[in-house]
Amino acid sequence: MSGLFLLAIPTPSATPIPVFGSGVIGFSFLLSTIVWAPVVWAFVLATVPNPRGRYDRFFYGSSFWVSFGVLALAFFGYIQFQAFTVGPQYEEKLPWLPAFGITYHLGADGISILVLMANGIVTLAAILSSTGLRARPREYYVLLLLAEAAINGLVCARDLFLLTLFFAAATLPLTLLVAGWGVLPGRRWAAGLRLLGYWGVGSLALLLAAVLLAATAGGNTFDLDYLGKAGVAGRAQIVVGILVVVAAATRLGFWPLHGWARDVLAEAPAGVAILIAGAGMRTGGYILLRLLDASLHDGTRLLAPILAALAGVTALWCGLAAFRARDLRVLGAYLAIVPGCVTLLGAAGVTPLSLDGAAYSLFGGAVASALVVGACAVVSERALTRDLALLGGLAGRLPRLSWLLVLAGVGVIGMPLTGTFVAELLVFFGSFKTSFIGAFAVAAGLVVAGAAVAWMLQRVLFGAPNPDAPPAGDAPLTETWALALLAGALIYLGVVPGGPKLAGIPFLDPGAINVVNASVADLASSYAPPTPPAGGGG
Amino acid sequence: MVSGIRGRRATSNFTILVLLVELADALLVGWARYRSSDPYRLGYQWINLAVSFEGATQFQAFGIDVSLRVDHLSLAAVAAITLVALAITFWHRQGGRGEAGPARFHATLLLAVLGGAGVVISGDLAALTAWWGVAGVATYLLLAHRFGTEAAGRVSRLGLTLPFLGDLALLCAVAVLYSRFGANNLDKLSPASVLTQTYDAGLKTLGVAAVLFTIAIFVRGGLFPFTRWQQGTLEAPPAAVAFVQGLWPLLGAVVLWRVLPVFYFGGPQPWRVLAYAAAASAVAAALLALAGNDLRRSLVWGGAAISALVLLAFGQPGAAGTSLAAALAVALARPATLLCGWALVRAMRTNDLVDMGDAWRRMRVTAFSLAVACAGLGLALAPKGAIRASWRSDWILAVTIVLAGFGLMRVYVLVAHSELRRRRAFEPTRVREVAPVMWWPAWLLALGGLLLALAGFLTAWIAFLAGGHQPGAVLQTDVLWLLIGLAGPGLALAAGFAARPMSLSLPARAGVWLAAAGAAGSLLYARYVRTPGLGIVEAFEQRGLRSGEGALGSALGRAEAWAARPVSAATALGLVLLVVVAAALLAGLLAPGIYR
Repeated sequence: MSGLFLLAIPTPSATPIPVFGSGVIGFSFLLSTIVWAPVVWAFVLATVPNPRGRYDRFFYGSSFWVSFGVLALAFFGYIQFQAFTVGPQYEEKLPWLPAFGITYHLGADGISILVLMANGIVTLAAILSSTGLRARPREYYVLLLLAEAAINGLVCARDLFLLTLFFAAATLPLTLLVAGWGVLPGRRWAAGLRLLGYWGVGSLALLLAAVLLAATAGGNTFDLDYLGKAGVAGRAQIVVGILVVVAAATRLGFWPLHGWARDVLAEAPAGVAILIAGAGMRTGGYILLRLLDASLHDGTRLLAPILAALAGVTALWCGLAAFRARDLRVLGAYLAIVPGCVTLLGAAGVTPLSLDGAAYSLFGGAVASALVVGACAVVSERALTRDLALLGGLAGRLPRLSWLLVLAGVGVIGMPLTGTFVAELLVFFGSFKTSFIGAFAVAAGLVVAGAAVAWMLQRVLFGAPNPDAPPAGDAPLTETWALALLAGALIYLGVVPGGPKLAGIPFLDPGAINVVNASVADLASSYAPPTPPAGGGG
Repeated sequence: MVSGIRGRRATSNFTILVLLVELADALLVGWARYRSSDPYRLGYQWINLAVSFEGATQFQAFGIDVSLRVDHLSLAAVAAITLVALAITFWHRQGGRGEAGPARFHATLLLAVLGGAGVVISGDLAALTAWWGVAGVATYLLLAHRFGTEAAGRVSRLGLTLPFLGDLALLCAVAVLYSRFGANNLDKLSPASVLTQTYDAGLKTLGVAAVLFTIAIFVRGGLFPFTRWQQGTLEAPPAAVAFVQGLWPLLGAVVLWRVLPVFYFGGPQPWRVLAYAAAASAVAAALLALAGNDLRRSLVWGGAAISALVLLAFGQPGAAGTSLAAALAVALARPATLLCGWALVRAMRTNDLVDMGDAWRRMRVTAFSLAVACAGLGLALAPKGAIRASWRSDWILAVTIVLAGFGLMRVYVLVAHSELRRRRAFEPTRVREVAPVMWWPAWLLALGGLLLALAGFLTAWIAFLAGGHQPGAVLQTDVLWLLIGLAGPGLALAAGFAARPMSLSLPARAGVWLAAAGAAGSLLYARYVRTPGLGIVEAFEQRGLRSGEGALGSALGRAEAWAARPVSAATALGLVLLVVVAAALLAGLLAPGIYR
């Protein structure tokens, strides 16, 4: 049996065999289409007349198909990506504000293309889980599409100023979504303002970092390709690095800047919570890799021990805080922060392998976080309560959701067969040489998070049913599909990171890890381990 | 596929078919490879990355192979795991009639078998870790199979919380080794030249990795002081508990055998850590088996003591092979004791040995199977003692074998040969033997365990498992250790027949003390660790963070109000000048020219 299973596992190849399906489409504005198509459609939706709510379903359906189209384009970009070359692909470059050296420069390397895929899947899941929405659907879907566009723009931007603009632009639609459609009317405004405050501070920090980096690098340009090779002075690297870390910390929810995550992920409607946890939070990890690791090598090396410690403290703290949660959605929010700690440890590991793991965790962590937040939201909706004192024994009554919640739990802590496990494996393998204590700290944090997951599953699913709890029913098909989409992606990433192959030839998927690795190898060339002295013994 | 089948019997049949095919597969390959001592190697690349073009060559590429490294030990271990799973599946047909979700149970059982088989045939440490985790997930799902009661919920929590510590310890151990040696493959890692002459790697690396491996094996094996997750999950389906307690000690022993070079070349410290921890664990578990009159707990403690002894003797030169043989015997005998125990508990409707008895007359096959399984566990380690190594470890081995044998056989004597008294709503005459489909799997496992334990005295069997030339013992030494193995059961028989009241009252008193100590420990932990620790977290989350956010919000509000107030042109000009000067100063300090 095991032999048969092993035979089914494909054999990745380092050689650049073209993927079946590559070369099907190739046009010059792939990334612009991915970024701006949702914006265009958002404007269309905003102007379509909707007498007495006649076209409410149209907003949902058309948003779904637009997002599906964006995901399809990202997928085409992914399978056509040339994993054996370095540097950005699908580039578009137009002068925008030449006096300030700002260009409209888009491009995607392996990391970007993978994050685009993750964003596409997460957005699709967010829209699918919003089928039950009845209040102001036009505004809701318009804002959702704008948020998707902003996050995709951030990922594609190769100009630091443009990246900063998109980074800040994602804040507003998400804030309005949380404040306007939050679950509890009394708390949603507070949650929205928290999001605005924290992410605003992060955006400000990134803007300062961008201006400082461009100013100290000289060259009158914000182009990331130039800034990455500019060789900024050490002191400036530290200042810029700290600002980037602050910006990333506000997004990924690192201690002590995680206050927004607890409230926002608990109060937002399921779809918005999925989008924020799966796409919005990952932008923090993305800028860590794109700016800190790629452009500020000396600063990264100096900050690495602090970052590793921060990752350990955050994982430990979130695990402990989850134990004190009295609300299922708050518990899910704390758990959603944990995969980001693996990303941070990978970024702090500054070895090629740990950076590979960090980049991979942007996808694995995105779907795991989105799944845990979404599953907690749907369970609390279906059980008609989110109070952990009332919830209990739901495994028998919500069989489908129970499996998804179990998978979300084991996915968050990175158990095998999930994408987060592969990321964890790479990050730990790469980090132990450079961040020995930090890696142990994150491992300890994961143990505590594991205990919190076990406690959550006991409390909600496997314990005795509470006779005082309201009656619960399993999730409808669309919500199940939304979560199943995330679960499927999580398992797919964990089982075939190198992509499926037929007779040794890549089939439809070049392998997420191979696509990431091409770009990381370029990014991590400054962090290669030293060559041992000849004849050096142990 | 199993999870898609409807019906209890159909899922069971399909699972049995799959397991029979796997067993036949293992036996056929074993037959084919009987004379070949070299492992059969085959690898499938799972991850293959060129990560760097500079630096040390071993770090320029990274790969994880789902590799097969089929040697005699792995074949024997796969056969043992499959045999236990088969017996469990048959037992569950009748014993698990009342359990919900047959498809779920059998699917997770097969997943656990897959994970276990993956661990024992893996030649790549990273893949081994992944398979270990797969078996861990399956174990969690098996133990969490029942739900709907508080006890079942608690079982599910314990089935994940503590074992996950072991899983991460294993991951960290493998990661530590990779971070220094740049290899996961056992064949690349094992040569002495690699472990002793790699640049930037030394005894400290090997020591840390060895300690982490020890933690992983102890935690997952459920050895003292990590037995809690096995003791606390006894409310799970009996078949699941029995399988888990047979599987993990065997996986732990196999992993230890695979990574023995790390211990060998790690200097004396890793050995000491392993030996002292295993000795302390074995003695403590053997003593705890004597405290209390709960049948299932006594059996679990006795089994944990023997499993710890298996690890103790790995450290003795030349005795690793016998340890492997003992691990295989324990893998079969431990589930057998638990299956018999459950049959007795169910028939007599109590866990308490005080209220049990007369099984020899009313449930003879089950009682006999329990005796055989206990004897198998008691004798499993005897051959290892016959390989003389160090005087001190021999004494620990002998004393613990006697203690554990005594503890296990005490259960048998009290259950089989005491008086079964009438209780409220319990009629002793209604106690009768379980259905054949429940007793024969237990009997098969018990007999297999005893035979494998006795086979440990055969040098040919040890050589088949471990390869190479194996030291033998003279006949007198073998006889001496056989007697030591039988001493514990013999003493238990004598004590049970001669002084039954005392053999019940003393453990009962010890059990009460132990429970009181446990409760006091829990209270102290809750009072001084858990409550203050979580209190700090809660205080920060509920008050500190919120007041910080509030203060920031107020400050921003005040700043906004201040910025919005009308100012004179002179003040505005001054402010602009101040900002410009500050910005110029900052830019000047950061600019490379001035800095230089």
